[in-house]
Amino acid sequence: MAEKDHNPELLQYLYEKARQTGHPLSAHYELTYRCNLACKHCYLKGADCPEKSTEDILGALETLAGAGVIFLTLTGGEPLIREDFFDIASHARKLNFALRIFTNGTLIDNTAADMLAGLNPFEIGISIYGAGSQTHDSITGVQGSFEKSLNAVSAISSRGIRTTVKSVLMKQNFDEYEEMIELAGSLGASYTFDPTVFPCDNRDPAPLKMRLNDSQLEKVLTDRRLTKNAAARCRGPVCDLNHVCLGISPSGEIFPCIQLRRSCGNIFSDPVDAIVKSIDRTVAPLTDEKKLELCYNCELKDSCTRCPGLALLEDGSETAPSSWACRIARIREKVRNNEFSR
Amino acid sequence: MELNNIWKTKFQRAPDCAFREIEGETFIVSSSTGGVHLLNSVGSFIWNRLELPATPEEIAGAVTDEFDVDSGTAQKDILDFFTSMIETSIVRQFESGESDG
Repeated sequence: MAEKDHNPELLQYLYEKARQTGHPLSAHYELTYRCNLACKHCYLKGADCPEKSTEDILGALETLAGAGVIFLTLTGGEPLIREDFFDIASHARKLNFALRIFTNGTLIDNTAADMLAGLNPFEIGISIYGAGSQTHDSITGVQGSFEKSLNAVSAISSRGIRTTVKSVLMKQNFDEYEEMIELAGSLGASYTFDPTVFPCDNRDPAPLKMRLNDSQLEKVLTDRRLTKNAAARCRGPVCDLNHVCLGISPSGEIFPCIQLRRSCGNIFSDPVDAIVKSIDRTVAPLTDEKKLELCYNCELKDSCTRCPGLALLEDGSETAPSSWACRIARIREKVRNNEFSR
Repeated sequence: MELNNIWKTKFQRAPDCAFREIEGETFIVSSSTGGVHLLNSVGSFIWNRLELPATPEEIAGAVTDEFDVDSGTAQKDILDFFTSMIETSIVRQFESGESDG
C-alpha cells in the first residue's frame, strides 16, 4: 500500500503526474515586499505591492490546497513582518502543506521559535550574509542584524526544525564563505549558497556590481561543498518551467516563477485551471528550439544553468542567451577541461 | 513494537506530515524525517481513516467492507502496512488521555 519511499524517483513521478494532469504542486508565496532590512543586493529594492488581508490569504491557501499544491514556501520581503504571519502559517499547516519559510530571522525570538516548532514546518531557511557582524550588517544595512539572524538559526535548529542557512555569495562576503559553512554546521544547520546576484525587478542593474569575479567564481564552482548538486542544475539552456510551480506576489499575481515575472493571472480572481493554461502558454516559447536557437547550438550548453527570468532582466529577452549563464558555463568548461588534462 | 501489540493499538497520522491526495493516490511528506511516501487507493483509504485514532483491527474491518478482499489477506496486508508506517514515522501511537481530535 506504501508503494514507494524516500526516493528521488518518487518526486519525479509526482512532478510528471502533476504536469500531465494540470495540477500545480508547489507555490512560492511572497506575503509582503516589506522588510526590516535593506540588503544591498535585494532584487525587490523599491518594489511596492498592495498586500491582501488575512482572510483573503487564508482563502488563497485553501484554493491552492484544493488545486493539489503540497509544497508551500512563505517568503517576502520578510514574511514575519506581517502581524498575521502565524495565523497564515498555522492555517497552511491545517491545510496539510509541507511548509517552508524563508526569513531573515531577525524577528524570531524564543517565543516565535516555539511557535514555529509547533507548526512542524518542513524547513526554515534563514539568510546570513557573512561570518561576522561587520560583513553581514554592512550588507543588510542594519546594525545588530547578524546577531539576531544567528540567534534565530540557533533557536530554530535547536528545536529540531530542519534549518538552512541561505546566502548569496558576492564580493563583499566571498572571503568568509568557508567560515559561514563552518558556522552553519556548528549550529546544526545546513547551508546553501548562490553566486547569482540578480538585477532589481525594476531592472536597476546596481546589485550586479557585487557579483564575484571570475577567479572567485572558479573557486566557488570547484568547491565540492557548494556544488553537491551542480550537475543536476546544469540542465542546459531550457528551464523546465510549467504550471507545476507557481510564484505568487503579495497582491496575488501569479508568475511561472518568482524570477520570471510574466503575469499569468491572479489567485484571487482567476480559476486555477485558467492560471495553469496561462502559465503553459506563457512558458511554451521558452522551450521552443527555434526561439532558443543560439543556446541549443551552443557548445557550452551541457554546462549551462540559464535562467529565463535573469535573461529577461539582464539581457532583454527571456529567450536570449543569458550573459551570466554564459559566463558561468565558460568557467565550468574551463574547470572541467583542467580536470581532464590533469 | 510486536505485531500482536500493533493489532489492538490506536494509531493516528503523525502531526508533522504534510499530504495531498492527487488522482486517487496520496503523497505524504514527513517534516521530521524528510521522507516522501506514496500511497495507492487502499493506502489512501486507510490514511483518511487515520485522521482520527484507529486500531489496525478497526481499519481491517473498514477495508474488508470497502474493498473486495478477504479478511485474512486484509489482516496480513494491514499489519505489514502499519509496520511500514510506524518504521517511517508517518503514524504515531495514540496515547490514552489524548483527545481524539
